[in-house]
Amino acid sequence: MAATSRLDATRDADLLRESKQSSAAFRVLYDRHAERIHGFLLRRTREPGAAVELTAETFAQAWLSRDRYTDHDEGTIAPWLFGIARHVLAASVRRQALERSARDRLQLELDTGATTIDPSWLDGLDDDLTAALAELPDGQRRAIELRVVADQAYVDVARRLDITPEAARVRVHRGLSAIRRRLTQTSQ
Amino acid sequence: MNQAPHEPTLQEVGDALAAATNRDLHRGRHRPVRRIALALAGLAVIGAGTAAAAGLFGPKQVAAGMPAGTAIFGQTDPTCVLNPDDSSYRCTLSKPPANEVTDANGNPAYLGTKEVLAIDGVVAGGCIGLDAAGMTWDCYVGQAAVDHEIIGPDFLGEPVLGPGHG
Repeated sequence: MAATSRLDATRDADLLRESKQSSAAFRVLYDRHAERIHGFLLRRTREPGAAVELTAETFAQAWLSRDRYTDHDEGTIAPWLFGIARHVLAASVRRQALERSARDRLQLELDTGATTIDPSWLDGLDDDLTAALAELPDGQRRAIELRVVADQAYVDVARRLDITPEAARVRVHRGLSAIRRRLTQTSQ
Repeated sequence: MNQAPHEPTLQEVGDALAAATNRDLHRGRHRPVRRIALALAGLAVIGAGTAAAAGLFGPKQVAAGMPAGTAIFGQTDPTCVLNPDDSSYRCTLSKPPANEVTDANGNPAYLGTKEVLAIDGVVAGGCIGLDAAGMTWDCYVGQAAVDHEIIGPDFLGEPVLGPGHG
């Protein structure tokens, strides 16, 4: 039985690791991140039903691929989840049908209405990311490019930027947080 | 969050996802052992109140079911006796459970904590902590564990691969 208080205080990567044996741990991750993932998908699709279904598919794919998550020690799995959400969105547009392969594997049924796929869902998708990255201070942007894009270890990022590994970690963390805020702003 | 009334909320999606992931976690594992399945079915027929008295599970089985169901009970050497109500077991540990549930100061906080009891490889019931240190527990088998809201009805009889965490 889930000891909720303990799980609530557990960091994302540890919860994901624990979720290999515990669906309760994964539920905590869902509760932490679902609203922002949904906000991102709703902003792209402007279709509440589609956004809910794509949110479910995003987390279903996250569940099925949780063994493959690499812990970059950023303290959050949000960037990984947003990567999945972007993939789910793009696959839906490409196939002209809401992506639901992971939901089917998990037999996760949702009762939503029919949705018309609109290619405009992807309009400016990469622009968002590029713009978010461009808005970062140089130090944060370089740290993210080295750590996330080039997948370098913090010690190597630190060496390249002539800072301590701890400072590199802080820059990446703050940069990713800023990008996440930017990408999850919902249009009103 | 604004949702059309007929569309599932994020909460409902979370609930459905939790059920689906729980099924997936147990998919491919051994089906419930026939004997325990029959015993649990018997409990449903007999009723929770007489479950322990029915003698379907002995105190030693319940004691062994604590570490089998929940990892924190590993190496705690539980001992159980039938409570006077004939429907639950009072279990005492020889050593404290793993320090997984704590208060803000890092002290054990097991009072009221609910943990899974597994017998013969399936979820057979659950236990409730009676003190903060986690040394004493009341354990319920079958429907009684559901009635005490320790486990959900769908979880009863589910196979377990190993002791759970959390």
